[in-house]
Amino acid sequence: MSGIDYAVLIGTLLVIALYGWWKTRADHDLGHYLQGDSSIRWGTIGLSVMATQASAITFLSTPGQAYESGMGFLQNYFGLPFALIVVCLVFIPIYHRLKVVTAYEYLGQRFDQKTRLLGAFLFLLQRGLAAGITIYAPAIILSALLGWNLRLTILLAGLFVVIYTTTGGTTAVSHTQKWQMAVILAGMGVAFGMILYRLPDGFSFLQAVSVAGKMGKLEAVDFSFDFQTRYTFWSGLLGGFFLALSYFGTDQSQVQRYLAGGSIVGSRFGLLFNAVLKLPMQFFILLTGVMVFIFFQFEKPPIFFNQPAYERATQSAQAPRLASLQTRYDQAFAQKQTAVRSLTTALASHSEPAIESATSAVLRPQKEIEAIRGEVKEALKAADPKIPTGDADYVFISFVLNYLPHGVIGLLIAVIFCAAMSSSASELNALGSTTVVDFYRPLLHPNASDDHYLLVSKLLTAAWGGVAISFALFANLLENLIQAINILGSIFYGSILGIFLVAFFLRFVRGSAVFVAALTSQALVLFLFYTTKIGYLWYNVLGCVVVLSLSALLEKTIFRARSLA
Amino acid sequence: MNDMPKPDSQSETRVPLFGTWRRAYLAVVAAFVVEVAFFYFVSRYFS
Repeated sequence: MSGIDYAVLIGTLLVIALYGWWKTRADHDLGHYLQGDSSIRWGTIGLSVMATQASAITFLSTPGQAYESGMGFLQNYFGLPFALIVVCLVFIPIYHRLKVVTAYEYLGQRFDQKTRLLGAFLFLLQRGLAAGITIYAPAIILSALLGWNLRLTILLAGLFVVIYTTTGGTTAVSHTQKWQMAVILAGMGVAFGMILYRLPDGFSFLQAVSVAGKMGKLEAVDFSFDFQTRYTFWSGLLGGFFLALSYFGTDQSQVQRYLAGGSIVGSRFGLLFNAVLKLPMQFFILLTGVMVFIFFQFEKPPIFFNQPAYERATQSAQAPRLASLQTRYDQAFAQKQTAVRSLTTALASHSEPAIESATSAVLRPQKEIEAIRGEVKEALKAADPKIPTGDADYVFISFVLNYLPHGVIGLLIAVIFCAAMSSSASELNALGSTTVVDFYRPLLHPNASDDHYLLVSKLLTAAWGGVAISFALFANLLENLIQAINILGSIFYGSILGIFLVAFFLRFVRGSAVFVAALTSQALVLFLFYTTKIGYLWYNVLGCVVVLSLSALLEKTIFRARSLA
Repeated sequence: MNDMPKPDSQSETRVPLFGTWRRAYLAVVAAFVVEVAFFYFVSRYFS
């Protein structure tokens, strides 16, 4: 990175953080701090919801995922629009009517205090850990590739966000997220344009898409009922629906975003904005990854994208094996490069037999390259079992650092920091609010002044920031970061969603039954997590179904008998 | 049980752009169908 990159990076982050502070500098109102003010319109809410969900890992991992496995991951989001419609229809009217600050306050009104505290506790536990991963994930990748000090990178990502979130609360978070999302979208647009610009002369976008299609990278929709296939239309529609319903309906980091501003129309439009635009946005990010893949058909990519890890392995006893694999890789890449050019010519000729033959000629060396990369990963593992063998997260950022001009590199690194900051700002804001509203105010200090609660809210937001940064500083999660976040969410989301669905739809169930059912469901999910290898997405469905069925059963049997007695 | 979901009749009458919330939700479903059809077309056409 050059001076101009650092200027763009630091300038972007500083301007947005100062804007958040400036926008709320004279605001000392507790309601505004926790719930935002009327200056937050539906467009800001929509971008704020989008920015909360899109973390740095979204922009680091997703293009790499498309590079490796194509566009099938898109199907993961197919349930999202329907979940958002349900949130608009069922959740939002209730939250607005009861004027709740946190989603868990509603549980207190519908059931009892202990169920409210259970919901809030499960949220704090899950989101408190996730906030650390949100900061740690981009820091570990950027520090490895840029040679930055890991702790300084974590502090850079963490301290900015703690300062403006603590001082400005919900209003600052929503307004800064609007500009962070603008930087993210502009940066990704520039990156996409630069990739097309860097393709060989005379090789058009349409040709790039055609070659990607022939190489199996554009399979975005799979209607098969194969349960072994990770991403299908049906698994995305059903599993994605449950995950999104729980996330948007009951996770305070999202609930606080769309309740900001106080208008039911604003909340609904903000969510519907996401229901329509989320799929095109994910499609665009995945297509960016596919275009990086096409770029690397003409420019030889490294055999393993996490170069610092690869270089460490070349210093070990595995060096001769890696050198031999590199030679085989160079030969296979040269073959593939020639074959891709022949495929381009065949596509221009529109001759089906020629296209078929040229496609087979491309896929042979491609399979050979995939096999070689598999062997490289085995060699890395043999060199040092602690070396992470997944390199998909490094694909996009390696491309950015090695092939984009200075200035644009700074902008793209700013995109990653903006994404990390926007997600963690929502998390810290929600963690601070939930701790004050659901624990501190009702349990420790019920009748204090608004000024007192405002001060405590700020202190607790800062304290959660400290917890997240400390967790990030001492975390040692080198592999599968996006998976770690999803697993963590899926372990708790099912039970929380179950409690809310019982509250909405099972009128006869009361607090004690749902409380026992939720604890049992959570214990069961944790037991299955530690003892079986069930796919983590199923925990969302399982936890929810257990709470729904068990609470109904308990209410009709044990707790009915008690109430009659 | 006042907290059960109810039709939001008051806000139903003044929804910008769409007129009613029912139309807004139908528009979202229609957008989803169009988007998936586009993704499917891209998958099939270029494979």
